[in-house]
Amino acid sequence: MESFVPFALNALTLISILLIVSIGLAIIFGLMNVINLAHGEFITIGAFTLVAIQAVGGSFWLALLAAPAVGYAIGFALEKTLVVRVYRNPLHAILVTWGLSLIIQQVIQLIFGPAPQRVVGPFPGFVTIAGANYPAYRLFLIGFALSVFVGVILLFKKSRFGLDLRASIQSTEMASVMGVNADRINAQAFAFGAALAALAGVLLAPLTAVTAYMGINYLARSFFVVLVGGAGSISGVAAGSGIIGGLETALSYQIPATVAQALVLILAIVILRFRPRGILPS
Amino acid sequence: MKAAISQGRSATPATRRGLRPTTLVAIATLVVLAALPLFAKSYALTSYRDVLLLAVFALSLDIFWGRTGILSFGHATFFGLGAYGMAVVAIHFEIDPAWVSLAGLLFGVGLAAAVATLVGYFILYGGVRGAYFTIVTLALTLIAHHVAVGWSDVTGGDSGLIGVPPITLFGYAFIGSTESYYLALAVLTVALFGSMRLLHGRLGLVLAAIRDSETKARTLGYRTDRTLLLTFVASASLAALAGAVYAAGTGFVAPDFIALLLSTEVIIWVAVGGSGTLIGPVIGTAIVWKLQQEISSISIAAWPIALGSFFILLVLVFPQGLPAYLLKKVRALRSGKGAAP
Amino acid sequence: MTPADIPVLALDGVCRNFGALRAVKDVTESFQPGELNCIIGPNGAGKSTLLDLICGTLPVTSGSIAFGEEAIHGLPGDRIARLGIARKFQVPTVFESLSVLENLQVAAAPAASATELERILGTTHLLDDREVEASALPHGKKQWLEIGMALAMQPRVLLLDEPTAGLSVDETRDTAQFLSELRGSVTVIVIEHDMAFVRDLAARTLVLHLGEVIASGDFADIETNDLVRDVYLGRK
Repeated sequence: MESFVPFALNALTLISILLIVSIGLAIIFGLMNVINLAHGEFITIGAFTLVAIQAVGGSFWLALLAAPAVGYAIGFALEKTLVVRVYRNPLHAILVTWGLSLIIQQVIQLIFGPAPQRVVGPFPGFVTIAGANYPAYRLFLIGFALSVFVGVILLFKKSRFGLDLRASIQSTEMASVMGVNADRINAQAFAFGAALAALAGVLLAPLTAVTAYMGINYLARSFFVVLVGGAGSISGVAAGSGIIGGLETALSYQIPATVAQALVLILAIVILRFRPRGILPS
Repeated sequence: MKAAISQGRSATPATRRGLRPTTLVAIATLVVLAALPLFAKSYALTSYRDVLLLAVFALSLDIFWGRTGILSFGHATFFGLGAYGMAVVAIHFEIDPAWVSLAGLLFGVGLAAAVATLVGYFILYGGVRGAYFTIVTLALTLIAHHVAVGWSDVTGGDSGLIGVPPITLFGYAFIGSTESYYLALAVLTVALFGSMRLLHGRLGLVLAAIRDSETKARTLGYRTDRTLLLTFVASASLAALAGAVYAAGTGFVAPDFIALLLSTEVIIWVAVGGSGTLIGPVIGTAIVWKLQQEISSISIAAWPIALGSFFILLVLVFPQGLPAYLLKKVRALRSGKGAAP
Repeated sequence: MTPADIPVLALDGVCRNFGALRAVKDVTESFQPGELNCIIGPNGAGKSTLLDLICGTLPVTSGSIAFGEEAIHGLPGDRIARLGIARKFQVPTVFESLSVLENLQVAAAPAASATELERILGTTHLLDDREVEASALPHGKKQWLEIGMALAMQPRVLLLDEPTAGLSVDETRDTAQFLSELRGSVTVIVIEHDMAFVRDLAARTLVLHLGEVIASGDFADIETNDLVRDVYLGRK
């Protein structure tokens, strides 16, 4: 029990981060069929928003509000200028977003320098759960990320934006016949996904070394979440996050973390052989 | 992106039967390269040797991407496996120096072929194509890089392995810069003409058919999964051969050899030269390598930014590849002149 | 039983469901060597699905399909093609970036002779277009090219899904002409909407309605069948 609780919480930390990173990726992929290789950079942008705000004396909470706004604005601008031109060709989308990713990394590094940045999160203490000490901040992270995820589901199911979005994912033609403005919904969805990734970046920053290249590892994981879980469905994202996050945490107790990550990705490739459309396709 | 320009499609029957334009360009290029040591300084030759091997690497990607239209973002994995395979055999095993190069080559290429077969089987037979294939192979390079950095007992971790001996075959050691340059040129020549012979024949036709419509190719009786897998494995093996000879030339391996940036660069080499042309990527490698020297001397950050910008330009300005774009411009210019009174 | 008596293609209780929809219901039919067959039926009757099941594009839900004496249901599509079943799709599907001749070369066996391909170019009226890139062909010629590709495979069974769609009157007549010429050498199954065309062929005709074969026999008999008149011909 004593060792199980930290394990479960570690797994939940990774799973909840993957949830909010991947949901954005899945929306963009499900809606526009665009594989956004710059998605990881929005995590980085979120983390560096926190770095910048703390550097001028601002609080973590301010960053938690500001980062999604920054992510949304940059995402919206990039969608309008570049991504909108490559919807019809998935390979073009890959190349353009990859180009963006390289540029964003270097621009961030030029502004902040190559040395890893350290940021501090709130709740520095520990909480004792079932006899085990666990960092309070991680508990906050899990709770907050899961609430965001629930919030996103509600937004999907209840709001006008969510309805338009789901209709467009089903069929862009049908949605436009029903009066949904496809250009607007695409731009909003892309920016919304970017905002969620930036939010994840803020949550993640206090746990890791913040560098210009931090996004790439989460990019690969969240792609496998979407591929394994099934593109375009929320339950697929939940299942994929659970599998990828849970397995990686479990394996990293036994073997070095890098090898664990490698094994999980290999396993995902094997799953694709038998379920090419994911475990829970839409 | 549909594999960009491909020679011969619009060629007249006459040129189809004779030598293709790309074959002539290939012969001319190789003749120039063969004469290069007469003019170049010895230290420059080692750089040129590296460029030739990187060109073989670019050629290996073109065999798969250019013909099938499926982009592999993981080709640095195979280049790196070849290089690390060579280095690990040379440094960790005590093999007779006369045979160590051959053992290293076989091990490196075999390793890459095995990984390509496994990964290729799971994703190609699973029906993973197009953009999905690209990101799965992207993840493959990430995995390989993690392993190269993390498994330091074998790979030397971040600092890599130093002390890979030059290639020695049947008692002859390619030690001097001229000798190793000609070795690289020989590898390039064999690889280039070998792949031209294969792909200008029936296999090339079948691969083009699969690119146009895999379903249709299957109803004609082709085992398209198998054809794609074999092409992928052949392409990966050639990448590994380039990597192994490269490591023997430079004398060391480092995690850079198996990194995403290299996977990215090789795509640019192929795109600049024109994917699907085989000789184009060879020339593209040389051009981009020269550009990289110039741009990197400005600042370290400048090169990745230039690369990123180039990806965006590639899609938005010349989606058919740079040579096709230039060719079109030249034609437009000519016909414009012709039409003028 | 002598080999000549064995049907080249035999379907036994073939069913295919898409979820709750039963697209093909319990089809039991056999096709003789060299016989020309037409399948008619209203849209959504399951005609194309039936061809998909024969050539392995779709798996059967239940039932069996035999090619000669070999069961082929459950085999991958490429394997079925190599056994000698060729297919022309409803929407003409050719290799757009290859020339007409290259399309035929891909379809034919590697050992196919130049004269054989030349003969097919002649049959399909494509002699002058051999070097033309397939994407540049007009619709009708794409149809012909795809039929030519199917012929180049030298199949024993030829499945044609609406070969005359989008063709001119002359082209349609030519198609009927050369299908009649195939009689006796290749078993042909044609899906058609053009009743005049089917009447011209005077072939054995199957009527499919809601996934079931409701009548089969000579077209002349089919035309006078009341049930068929009700569900299909009666609509005109």
